[in-house]
Amino acid sequence: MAWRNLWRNKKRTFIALSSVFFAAFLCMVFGSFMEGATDYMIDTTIERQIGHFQVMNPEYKDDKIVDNFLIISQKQLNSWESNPKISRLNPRIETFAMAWNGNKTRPIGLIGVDPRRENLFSKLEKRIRLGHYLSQKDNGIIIGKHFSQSMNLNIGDTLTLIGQGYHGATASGLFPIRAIMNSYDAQTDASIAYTSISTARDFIDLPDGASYISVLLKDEKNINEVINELRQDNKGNNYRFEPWEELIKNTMAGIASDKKTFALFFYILYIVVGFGLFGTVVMMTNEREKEFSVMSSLGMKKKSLIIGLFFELLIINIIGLILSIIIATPIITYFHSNPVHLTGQMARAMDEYGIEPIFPFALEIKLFFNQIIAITLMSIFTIIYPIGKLSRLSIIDTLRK
Amino acid sequence: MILLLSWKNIWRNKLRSIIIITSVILGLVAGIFVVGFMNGWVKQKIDSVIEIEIPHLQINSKTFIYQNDIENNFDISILEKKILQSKRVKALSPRIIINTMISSAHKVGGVQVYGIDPVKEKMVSDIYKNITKENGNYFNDNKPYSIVIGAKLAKKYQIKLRSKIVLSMVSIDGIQVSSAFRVCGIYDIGNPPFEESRVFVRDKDLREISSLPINRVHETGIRLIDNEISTLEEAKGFIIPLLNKDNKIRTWKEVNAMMGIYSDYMNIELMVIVSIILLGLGFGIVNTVLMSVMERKSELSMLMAIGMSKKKVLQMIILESTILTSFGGFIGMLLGLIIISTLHNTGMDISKSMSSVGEFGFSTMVYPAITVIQFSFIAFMVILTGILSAIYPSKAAMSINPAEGIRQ
Amino acid sequence: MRKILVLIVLMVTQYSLISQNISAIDIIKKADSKLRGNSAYSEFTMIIIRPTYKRSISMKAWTKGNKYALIKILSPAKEKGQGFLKREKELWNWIPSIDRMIKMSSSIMSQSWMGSDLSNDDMIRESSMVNDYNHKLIKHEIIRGLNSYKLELIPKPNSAIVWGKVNIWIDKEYFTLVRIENYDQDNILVQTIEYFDLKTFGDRILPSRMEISPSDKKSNKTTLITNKADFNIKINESFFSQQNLKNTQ
Repeated sequence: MAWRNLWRNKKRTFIALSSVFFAAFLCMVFGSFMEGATDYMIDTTIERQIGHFQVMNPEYKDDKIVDNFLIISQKQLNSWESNPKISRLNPRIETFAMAWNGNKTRPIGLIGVDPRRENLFSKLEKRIRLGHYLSQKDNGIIIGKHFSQSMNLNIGDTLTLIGQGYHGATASGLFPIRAIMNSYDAQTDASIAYTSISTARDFIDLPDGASYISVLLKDEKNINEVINELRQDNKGNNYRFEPWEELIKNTMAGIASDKKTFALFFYILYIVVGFGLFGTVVMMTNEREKEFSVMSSLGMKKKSLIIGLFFELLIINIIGLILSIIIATPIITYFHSNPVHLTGQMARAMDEYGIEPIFPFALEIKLFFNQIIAITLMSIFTIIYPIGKLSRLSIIDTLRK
Repeated sequence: MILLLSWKNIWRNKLRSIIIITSVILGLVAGIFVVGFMNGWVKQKIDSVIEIEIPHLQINSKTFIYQNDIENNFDISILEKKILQSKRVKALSPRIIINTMISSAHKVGGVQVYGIDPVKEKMVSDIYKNITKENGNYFNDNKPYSIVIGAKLAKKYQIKLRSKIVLSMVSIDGIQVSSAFRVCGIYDIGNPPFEESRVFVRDKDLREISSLPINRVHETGIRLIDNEISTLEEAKGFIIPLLNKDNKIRTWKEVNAMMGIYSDYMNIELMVIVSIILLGLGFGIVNTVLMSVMERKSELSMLMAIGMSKKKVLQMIILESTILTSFGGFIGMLLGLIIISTLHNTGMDISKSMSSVGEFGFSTMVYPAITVIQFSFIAFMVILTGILSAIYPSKAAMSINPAEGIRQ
Repeated sequence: MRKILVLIVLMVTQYSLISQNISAIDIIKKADSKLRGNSAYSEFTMIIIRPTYKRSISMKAWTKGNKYALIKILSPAKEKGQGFLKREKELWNWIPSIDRMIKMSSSIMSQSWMGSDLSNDDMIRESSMVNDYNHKLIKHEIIRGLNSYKLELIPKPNSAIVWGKVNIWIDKEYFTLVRIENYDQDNILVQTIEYFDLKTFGDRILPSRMEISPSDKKSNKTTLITNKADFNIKINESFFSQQNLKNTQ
């Protein structure tokens, strides 16, 4: 009967339906957008820089000196990489050195990378503007644009580095300039240079290993599982496994916490949209007041009316939700795979940072689920009014109107 | 006549009127709140960076940008007066910047020492406000060889208020010089890397040790009258012709690209959020009015049956919507204003939504604020939506067949 | 009057007799004069102890006053041939393995010298025990069987010294350093330096072994053993050159 009622007044049904549909659609798009935008920065950092977690020597976290570097063999690394849950890993050596160009001494942060693995991670090669990328065991170095200008160095020149090596040895080496890379701003860029990890190890006299190893998983949910696995397999060695939430604290904490603040806006949207739903339902109920009274006077039990109405609203709700899913999904998927490309100065700046200048939409079932639940809750809430009204229906009053 | 009818109609169906008015109020307050909150929140994040860490505009010698050595300085004497002539410039602070070693009994490390005139610097950077009473002050006593350091530095080097530290640097003559300073203030801005690398002393003292001639500085920080982009561009345009070819002026976005990106990204997000909320509002109102028109089918049909032209019926419905929306709009604006000003005064504590706040000493207070332009825009949009959203349903009313309607 | 007193004191100590009326500053001056000379040549070994390793570096050094110094590393093999040159305000580092003569900037000064508990700055210490502190004789104390003066040194307000206080024990007989305790400005002990094994070096008697222990890292220690030392040698400023730094064995 509920079904028939719906069909009878198509226009009315359509309006109610579209109300639910639009509310749900908006919420889904909004949710995808918010999640996408706020997560973008974090996800990019995880994917491109720090991985889901990092493996290091326990002392390294508090004191990043050479003596606290991780000793680990290539064989070990390769065996980890073959773990199906691990997408890729990236060992790095980070150490301070003094750079000398024959004239001036400058402090510099030397980063030794596995060129192939690093490229998979941070797309380092893309940032090169002059020269070419490091070969696997390259003894050359990539420096920043600002650094090259301040030290007056070009491709082919040699940079001298001295520093503190493993177990107190003096670290010293000559590095031919292989490439010059893009700068962010003068401050950050000027102080970082890249060489191959094998050369960096030679420089500091480290037998084998790295400062830390970034591990990227295929699925973020497996973090704890994989960490436990690795811990078990390497019981003899004392490794520390640092998850990304800890690593991100210093640089991106501000952005990570933004996510939670944004939840506020969600609630506001719910209120606005919910009220729209409510208004529609109220109007619809009032419009049918007469109809209900007539039915009631014809002998229909109030209870049946209420149940009937309930079902009507339920059907509207379900259809509305399904419709919204059907329409929202392709749209969101489209924007997920073809994100809106930003242009202008901002895009260029982001590009230099190695961040793609896009506005991504998140595609997650979890998000849809949340919206569905929210909308359903709202609908149930709004149903209270018509049901309340029905129960207090006075036939005579209505007929009189 | 129509007016009277509309008015009566509004009063007759109180529920409907209340719902529409409430929708408008909701939408308006929501819009105002969202924008106000975003403003306050962005302000907390980005503007505080501008007001404390990086000034709106910054002038350095071109060579200094690549090599921040002591010899890359420039003369500020004439430039200072000329820059201050711009109406958009609020204040200017000439700064000596030298790379120095700082030693405490426990640790030695590198920092950048800024030699400043406290009076001028206070007008450009609000960092002095971030020194709590128990952590000293920003050169209030004007004591020679006082130094202000960051909280993270103090912690790492185990330095306290009134501790003595030694700064060692190379003077302009190439001589290694050292001098003792006493800590008169410790600032905390929730930015550990900044706090670890920047210390402040009086420019007189720094000039004395480093033998840097008078009027020669490494940087000029310029604070403008407001944070608007237009002001930024205009001020920059005014100053560029005043500089000689060895100097360069940069906006804060150029100095810290990441912040610039973040700010722009946020603005776009804000626009999308507000649009979606307005859309939701609009649709809600449309539906509500639609339903109400349907509900009034019989009533409208009767009106038409007794001779009222369709056009007049349309006018009546639109007029009703306009009155309701305006009324709702008025209340909404008032309510919105009250909410924003109250929150602006008390501030909103968003610490519950932030995870590791304590560690950074981030201010967890957001002070919503809204500009006249933003406010007017939102009010206009919401009311317009309210009125426009009556048009479609009204058209629907037009298609009502009077006879059919009465029959119902 | 004071001058005469000082003269008497000096004469008396020349004969290794203990004077009861010696003042703090005199004690310091005497101790200080033993460490400074016009010029010197020395050979020494530095042993660095850390939780995970132990390193031994042997070197020889020529110094002339405060302004000139040349140090050559003899072992271990990896560091052999490395040298440091100080010429007035300039500091150079010679690294034969990469054939480079590098000018050291002030930022290097703070870093530890060759990985030890001494900083580069310590090695060419400019501050003066005599001039930069106010001295007070606290008591007479026996340390490791040696009769010593215990003095308390408080840095003068404008001196470029970060210690809050320095306790120093000086041997009564030879006026050599026995122990130094460096305190921060909250009276917390930061570093202890002990002197052992008195030996005759040329015209003076000095401790041949020095141990530096930081208080916050109990398992760290640096020991400096002087194997040989000649004072007031004949040496010109011209000796202290980059050429010599490279060539000297």
